[in-house]
Amino acid sequence: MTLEIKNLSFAYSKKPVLHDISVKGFKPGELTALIGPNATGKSTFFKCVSGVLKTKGAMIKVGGLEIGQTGMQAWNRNVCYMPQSFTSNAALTVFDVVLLARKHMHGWRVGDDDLNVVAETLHMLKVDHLSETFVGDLSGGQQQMVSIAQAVVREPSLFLLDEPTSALDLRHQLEIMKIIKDVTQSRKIVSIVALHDLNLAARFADHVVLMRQGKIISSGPPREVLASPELAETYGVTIDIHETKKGVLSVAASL
Amino acid sequence: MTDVVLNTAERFRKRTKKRLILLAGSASVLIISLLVDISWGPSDLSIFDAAMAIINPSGASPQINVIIWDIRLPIAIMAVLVGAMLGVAGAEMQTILNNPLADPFTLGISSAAAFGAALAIVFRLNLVPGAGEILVTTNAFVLALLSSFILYAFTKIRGVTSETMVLVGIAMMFTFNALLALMQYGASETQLAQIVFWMMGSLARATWTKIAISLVILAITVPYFMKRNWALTALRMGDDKAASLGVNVKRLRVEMLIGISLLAATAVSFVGTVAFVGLVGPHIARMIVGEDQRYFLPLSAVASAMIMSVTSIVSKAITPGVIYPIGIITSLIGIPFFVSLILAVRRRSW
Repeated sequence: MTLEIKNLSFAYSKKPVLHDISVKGFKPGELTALIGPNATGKSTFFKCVSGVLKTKGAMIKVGGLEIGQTGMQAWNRNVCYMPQSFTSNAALTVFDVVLLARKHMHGWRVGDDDLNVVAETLHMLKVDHLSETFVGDLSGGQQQMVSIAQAVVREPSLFLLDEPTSALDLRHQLEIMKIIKDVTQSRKIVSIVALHDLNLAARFADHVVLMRQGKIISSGPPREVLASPELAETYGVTIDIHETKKGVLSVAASL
Repeated sequence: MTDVVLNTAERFRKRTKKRLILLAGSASVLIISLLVDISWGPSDLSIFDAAMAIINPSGASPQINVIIWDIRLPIAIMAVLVGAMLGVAGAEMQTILNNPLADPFTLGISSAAAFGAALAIVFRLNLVPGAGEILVTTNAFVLALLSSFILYAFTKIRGVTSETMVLVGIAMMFTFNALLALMQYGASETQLAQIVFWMMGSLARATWTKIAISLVILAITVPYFMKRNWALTALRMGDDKAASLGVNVKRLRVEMLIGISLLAATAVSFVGTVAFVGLVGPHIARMIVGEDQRYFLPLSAVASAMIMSVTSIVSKAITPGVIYPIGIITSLIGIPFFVSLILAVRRRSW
């Protein structure tokens, strides 16, 4: 599985958000962290690549598929975009909504294997005790866990996860990032995860992409990108990188 | 696979089975209610007599045949069909607008229909050439559809968000109510009485033709909605989430709006304004089976049909020989029932 993007630009009405983005070199089994300040176009980038927003003149290829050339159904089967958060008051249980994501446009013929995959995923994310709870009754963090379960059961070849840890406590952040990393490696898929926490990016990403005002300004291994002057300039902070005894990178920022 | 995993899957299977049983149970109660409705009336017929006259009309006396076939059957069946149409329309309106208060009233469809009926009553204005004596019905239908077209036009200009649709719908409701008041102000006493009576809703307007038309409309729209039940269920997780799962949210809203308008316009133009059924039926269904559209949609239809059917019985039972307007009864018997249900069901459903 590979991902290649060429000349991706996007504007809301007449307000340009993404400027001629071209990237490639995403390797199967690698986790890429997409970092950048607020309102820099990370979510828009994900929406364009996932096909939620229609783009003109861009070439986006995932494996052998190309957006615009491939039917949206096949595209959606391969590309899984997870929005930042969802709030829903629907009378649907956690099991219902995860199964819904699993069946994803395949119709409603639910087989035993579907039920088992959903149950296993809920178990893996340690939320199986919530399976019969209405999604509206969940806390923000629990909803985020459910959202991740929805992404995992879809078994796509490209993950686009928009701040999957923003509502989670410290332990859950680490657990979720580890699960995403494990799934990425074991299924040999490409994962791009938008993160605000540079320490999570330093710890889990194989590759870091820095975005600023709709452009990609730096891309490479975490050690290089996080230590780059571009990063410090983008955020307007000074950055110190340390390596712990266990070999984990940690980022300390100060004004 | 661990026991925990197997248990989680098993719990879901059990719940699915329970939902199916509830659905079948409700449908059986509806059939019983329909039979009671047919056998209930001033001339004492037992359920058995009524059933015999339906199964074997040639074996029954001409008098019984007239009572059953010309009066009671059309009214009883119309009650069920109008209930089903309003229930389905209300359920899907609440779904696409993401709003628990949505029903054919919210988008001004009922007000528009009432205005259309008033145009026919006061000015004898005929919006459908050749409508003849049924011009009240046809005018109501045309205006109801027109209100949906206005809404559709707005969504083309302003985008299809649920908030825009609700706001424009409410604006239309007030506009048509004002126009209706203007008509009432200028109407003669007889005309005024006719308008008021039309707005109260009556099943006595049932005919076999109207039943056939209602059946056709249901046969077109319900499968059309069922085909989209996956996308509609996904829509209840929010526009962003549904879009990320591959649902074309804007197109879905517009497609659904067309079906909903047809259902609501048909129901309202055939029997007049029936408050409350399209709102409450779906809420009852939601409390019982949740919002998985595979169960929610059929149960909304059945629950609303049941409310209408019981209403039809009660409207005859209060004073023998008098049939009260259903619009009044639905609210009077429905609201206490609904409130008690809200109190009884602890699980929050909206």
